[in-house]
Amino acid sequence: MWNTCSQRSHLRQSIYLLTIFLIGLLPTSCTEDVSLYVDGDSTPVVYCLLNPADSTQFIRLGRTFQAGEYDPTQIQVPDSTIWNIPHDVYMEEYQAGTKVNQYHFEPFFDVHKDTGLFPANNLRLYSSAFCPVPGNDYRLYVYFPDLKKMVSGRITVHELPKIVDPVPISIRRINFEPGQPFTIRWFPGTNTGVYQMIFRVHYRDSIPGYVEFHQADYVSGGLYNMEANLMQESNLGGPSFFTSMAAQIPAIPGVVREVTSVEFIMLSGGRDLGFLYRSDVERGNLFTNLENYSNLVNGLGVFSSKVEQHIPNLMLAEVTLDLLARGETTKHLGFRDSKGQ
Amino acid sequence: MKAIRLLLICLAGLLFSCEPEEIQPGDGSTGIETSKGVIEFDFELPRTGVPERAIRRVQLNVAQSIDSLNRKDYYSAANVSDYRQKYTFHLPPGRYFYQAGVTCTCQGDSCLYGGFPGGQFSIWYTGGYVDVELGKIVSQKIRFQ
Repeated sequence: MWNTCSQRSHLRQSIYLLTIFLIGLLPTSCTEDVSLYVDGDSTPVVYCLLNPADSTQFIRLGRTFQAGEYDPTQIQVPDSTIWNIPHDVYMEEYQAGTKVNQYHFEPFFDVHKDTGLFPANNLRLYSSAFCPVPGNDYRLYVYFPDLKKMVSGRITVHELPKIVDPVPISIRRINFEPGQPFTIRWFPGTNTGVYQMIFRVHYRDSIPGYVEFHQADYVSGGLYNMEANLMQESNLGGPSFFTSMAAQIPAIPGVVREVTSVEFIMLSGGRDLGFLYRSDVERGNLFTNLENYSNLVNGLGVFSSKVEQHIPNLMLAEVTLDLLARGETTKHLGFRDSKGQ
Repeated sequence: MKAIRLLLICLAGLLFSCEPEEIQPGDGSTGIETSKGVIEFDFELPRTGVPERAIRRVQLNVAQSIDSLNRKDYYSAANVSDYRQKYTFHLPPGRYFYQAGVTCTCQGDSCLYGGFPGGQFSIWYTGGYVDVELGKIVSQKIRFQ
């Protein structure tokens, strides 16, 4: 009798343990998540920078083997084969937590691929016609139904920074004289993470018989800044302006050059582009290391936003024009001074 | 004895951890290059009947003579802004002539009727001269009359 009771007790204990084990297995049996970071397998690489100022948005897809260790005993699958399987590229737009739109991306072939050192076969470009709205949330999906793999990302499009200086008043001139740096001022937009400033100098080349128009860019380094409320400042100018002009503009004997105008361009990127920029700066390799920063689930790359703001028809100060014409660094370029001499 | 040793080690640690940052002895300099002096302009905007935000600084130039100033042959120029009132120039000693200008951005006749001596985007100038002395900072208030 005692023996039978003991056996029953053991049986109950075993059933109890088995039930707990089976309950523990339930959540894992229902998941469809597949880790793409498997040695020898490739990883989708997705780049998408939404541009609220553009009516067409682009997504670039590629793949990489960088997630796994190189194994010389295994034959590597050519990169281009991944695109022989079906895949779906789409985006959802959310406003205050509610889905308001869904956009499908179609293959886009109008942009010529880089034929340089860049391997082009494993890259595809997709486009969709819509204007992202600053402040709205966007969710990006690349779905591979045969593999049951989904690459996804989520961002809030950053709001446009409000540029304070330079102002679009041409009679207030831009001076790059050493000792008088130009201070760019702006109020950052929400979710902005990185900036780059460009002063584009438009000039005219004249020789008897023809006139040509060209431009040269004076570019700042990237500015990583997550501040959203306070006015931001950044200085540009001094000898680096004249060195930059001398490096870009070829000296042509007999040509007469005149600066016609200056255009200010502010490039701003979303928070995730800011994180990518900062991680690249810290590692010392800009936008080349795929393992630096990624905000994609089951993939690599960056999903963020970018905006270009232009202030045209500005003018260089007389002092800068005179230095451009007569300064040691740029006098060989043939620019006229502020009086046209 | 062991406790005293432990106490002494802790005290030594505290002494090193509290070492203040090294302060470089000042040489009394004001950040002025040895061959130059400084002019600091206080560029206050004129008071008119035009809304304050519509009056904008547009130029502040210095030249070595009035003739150079009139010919726009400036020695130096400031990058003026609506968000900054003080501007400095580091210059070799001597007399310098300056010219400051503001404009009015109101549309129509609002600038003229508001007391600004000109229409939209016309420039109201003022000027004067300043003597720069070696190693000294000279302050100059810009007044529009």
